Amino acid sequence: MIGAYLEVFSLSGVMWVLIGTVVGILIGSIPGLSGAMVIALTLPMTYYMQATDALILLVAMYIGSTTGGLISATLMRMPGTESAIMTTLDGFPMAQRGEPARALGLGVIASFLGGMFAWLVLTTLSPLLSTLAVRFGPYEIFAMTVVALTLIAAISKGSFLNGLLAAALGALFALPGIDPISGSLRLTFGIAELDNGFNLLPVMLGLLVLGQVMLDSGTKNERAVQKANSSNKVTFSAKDFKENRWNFVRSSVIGTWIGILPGIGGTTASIASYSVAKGFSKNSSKFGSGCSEGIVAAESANNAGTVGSLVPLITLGIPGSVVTAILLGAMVMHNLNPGPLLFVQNPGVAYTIIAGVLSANIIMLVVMWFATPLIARMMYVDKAWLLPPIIIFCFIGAYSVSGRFFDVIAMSGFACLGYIMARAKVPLGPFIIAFILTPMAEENLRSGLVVYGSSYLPLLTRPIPLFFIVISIVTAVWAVWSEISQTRKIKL
Amino acid sequence: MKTFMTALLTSVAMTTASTGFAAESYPTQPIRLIVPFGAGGGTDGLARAIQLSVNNNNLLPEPIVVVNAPGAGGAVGTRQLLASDPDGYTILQIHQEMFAASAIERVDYTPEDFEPIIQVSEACMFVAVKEDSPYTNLDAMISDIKENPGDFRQADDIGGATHFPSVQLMNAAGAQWPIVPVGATSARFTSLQGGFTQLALLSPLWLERAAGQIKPLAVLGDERYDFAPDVPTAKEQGYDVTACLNRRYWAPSGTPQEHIDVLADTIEAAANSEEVQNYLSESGEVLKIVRGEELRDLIDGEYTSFVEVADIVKGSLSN
Repeated sequence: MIGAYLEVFSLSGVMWVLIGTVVGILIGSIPGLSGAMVIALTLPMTYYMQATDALILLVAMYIGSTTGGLISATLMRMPGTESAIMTTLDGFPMAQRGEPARALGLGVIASFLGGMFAWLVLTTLSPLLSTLAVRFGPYEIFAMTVVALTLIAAISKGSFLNGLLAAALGALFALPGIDPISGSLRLTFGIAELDNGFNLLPVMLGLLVLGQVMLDSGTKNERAVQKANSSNKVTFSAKDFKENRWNFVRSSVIGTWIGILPGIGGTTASIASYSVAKGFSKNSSKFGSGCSEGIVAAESANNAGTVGSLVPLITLGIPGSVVTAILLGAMVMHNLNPGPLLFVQNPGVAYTIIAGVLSANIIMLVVMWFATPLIARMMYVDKAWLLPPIIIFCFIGAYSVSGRFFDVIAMSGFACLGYIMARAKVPLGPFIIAFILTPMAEENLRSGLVVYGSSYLPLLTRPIPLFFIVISIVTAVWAVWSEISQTRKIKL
Repeated sequence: MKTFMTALLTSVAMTTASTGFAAESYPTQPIRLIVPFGAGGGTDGLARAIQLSVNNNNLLPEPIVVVNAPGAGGAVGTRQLLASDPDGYTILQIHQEMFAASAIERVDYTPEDFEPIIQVSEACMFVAVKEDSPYTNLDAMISDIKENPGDFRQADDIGGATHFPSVQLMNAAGAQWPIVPVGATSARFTSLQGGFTQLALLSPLWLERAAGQIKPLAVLGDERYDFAPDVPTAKEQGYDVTACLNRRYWAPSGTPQEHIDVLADTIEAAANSEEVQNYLSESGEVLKIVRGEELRDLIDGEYTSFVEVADIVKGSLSN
């Protein structure tokens, strides 16, 4: 274990982490280019690298890209990465009123602290979790995805039905493709291109980025106006830090916890953490208008979730996101055994990944400390210069998934859908969450039915599924109850 | 880094040593090699090793470019080959996953619609049970399944390349057992360890990787593994079933024969290079070159054996 840390903090180790973090931040900040894409492109290049160097490079890219996402989210209201969706809510208004450096600085500090907290959990609890790992069968994983799906109800407070509508649409679009249990095609309507269903990247780019480009194109350019009071604002203020100290802790805990749930990851983590922070805050009405608490909640949680998602990857071999799926591929490619036995068979590799997380977090903080004042100036670049390249990057991104035009068409379709949904005030988060989680829930439920001879009973007799089922029922009931009582209050 | 430098130095040395290439009319532009699976998998690994060897050793005047086109169990990439011009500038590498998709009629093409170039490698699977399983051979396992049907499940990929030999094994044994869809071999292994399934077909690499945690009952190949001579084949135990993933290169139907020959010669030379040999032995696969008429016959035989059990594969739902 100490050997792994020495290797990661050696000159060449630090070099790989620095390259990975900087590339990750750059790519993550460009909507259209995702961390997943650059990691997939880097993968063949790492083929002839040592497995440990390759993994710390890729992990550093993963962490860098999560942080990078906050830049475009703050300066352009476009999540550079999926997990920065919630950062747009308060980051952009704060930047818009003339404090882009403060907004970015808060996001960076929050990212660092969230990542460090999750690293601590990864270090201390991963071996423990790995001994429990093989007991996670199809019903256990199914029950966990149900918990995450019920969170949709919780985050849709205030627009409960709209949230459910978005989730239903997301689930619907996840259905076409190969049926997981029979291997035959379903809902492809004879369109050969649909036999793999809709890919996540075109859906995300269309819905969240191109949709926003369409919204932006229709609005007045307000950027240049604010230039006057921008100049020398403080980047990291002690007052902001002090005010948010409990917010940092709470959001990191929530982020890490949700990140650890296999197949869930940073996006949901930041959404949940944001909702909880809003519930706890004395000035909850200020959320969404550029308050520091919103930025801290979203950014602590998404970085904590990113690091947290490495726990199921390392201990269970379950990829919690597109990126961890590629990391899993990298481990397979380097003939490592991802999954329950990594700590048993390749403990050095497991500890190298963990040490790489620590190193990437520290380097991310150092890089962003110096870069933030410069990046903040981008706020005053005319939108007319920024939107065209973003559109181009989106098209490149969608085409690169499988090298076919179908994904570009699909992305354009989802852009229109995203535009319509945004105009109709239907939230996009539940759509994406349901789109990702529904297939996972279905596969595991149906596998479980084969394992347990078509019986649902083990969902209630096995302790772990029972635990998660209880949590999801409580979450769902609480969400519906608070929705009803809120509506009643308004009526009275 | 060290490995990378070694590979680089080796390739430089080999480039210097290689004899000059006689210029021909083909190829005059880069050749696109479609990998119909994601970055990081076994198909991607071999394709990139071949690409590296061809490009580093100047086996062709033009480079080979690997393009990943993952999706739908290889069908997305295979369709791209089907749609491309038969000019020898687009080729594909895939194993029997192509036959699987055709046999269950998930796609509208068959192996007849393509021109096989060359087979490079073979990886025969083995029948694995958990280490503490009471069985020591196929007979013991199968007689127990016949006595207690319903307690026994296999982890596999429904409709995938290993599902077909699994059904062939059921037929040879005169027994039936449910298949749990878990996916790739690492997931099958995990499922086996968790006790959710009792049997899985694993790739040879897992014999070493999972040593002490699984027990091999039979090799599903014509011969025993060189590295595990104690494990008998299924055939020796009276079950005439093989399950080998054969990695092959394909061109669109109608590609000129002389181009096919150039490609086959090039890929064969690359396959015999040190880089590819190393890659194969690290992945637990063996070099097995098959070309021309012999390859066509092999493919026809395999495809027919897939089609024969396709109805059972399609109908093999849970219990």
